[in-house]
Amino acid sequence: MDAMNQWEKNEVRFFRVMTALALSLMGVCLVATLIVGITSRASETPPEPDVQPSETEEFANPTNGEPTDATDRLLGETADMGEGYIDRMIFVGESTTAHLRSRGVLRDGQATEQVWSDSSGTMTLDLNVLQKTINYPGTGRPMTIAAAVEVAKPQYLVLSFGVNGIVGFSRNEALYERAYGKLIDAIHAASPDTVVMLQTVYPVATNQTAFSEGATIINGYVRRRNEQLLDIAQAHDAYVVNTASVLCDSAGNLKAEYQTGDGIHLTAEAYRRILQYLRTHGYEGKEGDAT
Amino acid sequence: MKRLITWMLAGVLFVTGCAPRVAYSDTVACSRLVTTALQAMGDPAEYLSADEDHYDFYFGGQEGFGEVEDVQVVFHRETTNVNELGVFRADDEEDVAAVRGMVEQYLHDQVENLRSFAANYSPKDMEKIEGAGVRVYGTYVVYYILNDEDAASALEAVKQAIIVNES
Repeated sequence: MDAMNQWEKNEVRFFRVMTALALSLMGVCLVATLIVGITSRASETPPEPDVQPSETEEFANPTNGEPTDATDRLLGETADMGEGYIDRMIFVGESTTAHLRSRGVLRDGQATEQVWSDSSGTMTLDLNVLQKTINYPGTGRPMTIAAAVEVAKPQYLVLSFGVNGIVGFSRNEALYERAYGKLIDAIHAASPDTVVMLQTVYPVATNQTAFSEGATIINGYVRRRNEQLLDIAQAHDAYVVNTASVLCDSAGNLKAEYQTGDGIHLTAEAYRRILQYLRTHGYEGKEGDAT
Repeated sequence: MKRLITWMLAGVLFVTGCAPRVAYSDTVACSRLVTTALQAMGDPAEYLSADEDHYDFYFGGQEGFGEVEDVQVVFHRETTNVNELGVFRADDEEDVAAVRGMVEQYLHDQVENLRSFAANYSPKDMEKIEGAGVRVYGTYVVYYILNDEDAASALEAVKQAIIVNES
């Protein structure tokens, strides 16, 4: 009897061990089967960018005070060109451009047709920018920027890109230049007489939280984009207007009183300062051109 | 006891033997697969195709791009919608790993670019960004930045469009 009980105990123990082994083997086989065609996810923590903010004297001077071959592309101070000069401008850019309409600072206020945007109210500059559409004022018809320019033939087209995607641009500077150049070339092809102006990229305020990096780092990226603008303008027959200069505090951040609370978007007063800067840093034409 | 062990091993072999074996075509155009996927998602008219400049800039010169036989990438026309879908076909099965590596790197960089943008303009898209992924079907490498429902629809549509047999 004892021998039988001992045998039964051994058998039970053996069954338990074999059951555990079999279940483990089945689990391994199932996992191996699932691994075929399994999703690969991008989940690595990105490395921190190697940021060395420029130590130039004036944040918003895209030339950093150093002469370059492209400085003739920077629109300098002129006499006040008047409100009629602004009236001949079309504005295209990110949300900070679209808000020219919502802030009501142009002649026709919130009914202005001078601001082109899509229904989202923002746009990001990338290599597919020529395919992106704006809702053409009046008709609401979606049109590419180039197609809209071909129809409207604006005298001045003021572009403002650089905050959306700024982290990506900082990691791949060629992208900013290539995408912007592509857009400018398409505008010139659609309307050769349109003067293209590139606004310097607006800084962000210290209270911004949209970017995981702090304002100092982001504004360092902004400064670098502004330095690129002169080369872009030179290469693609455009002009740079340093409107960002009226928005900066002494540290190169967006002035607190000019932002709406998120550290990025602007107040109506900020836009009035920008428009005044445009009037007093006007395009006076090339020799022989009519302005 | 021996009979028990035998039955257990037979069970294990049965389970592994039942794993699906799938064969995929390698002749379907990537553009057709993308169209099929977008139709499954329900709003193909809202998407724009990337142009040659896009492929050249992001993938040209990258390890793996030389092994790409065909490609189609689409993205949503609205800036505030981060939806993106790409289908690559490798020259042959030996090249799939290289193509996959290239696509994974692109997706990693794109996700990083989109994170800050979405946080500011489109918080609802964070789910898509965090759920972005890559799948391989034969010689096809598919990446997506979509919500779960669209991703499932798109991937199933692609798979069904190229599956040859399933046993």
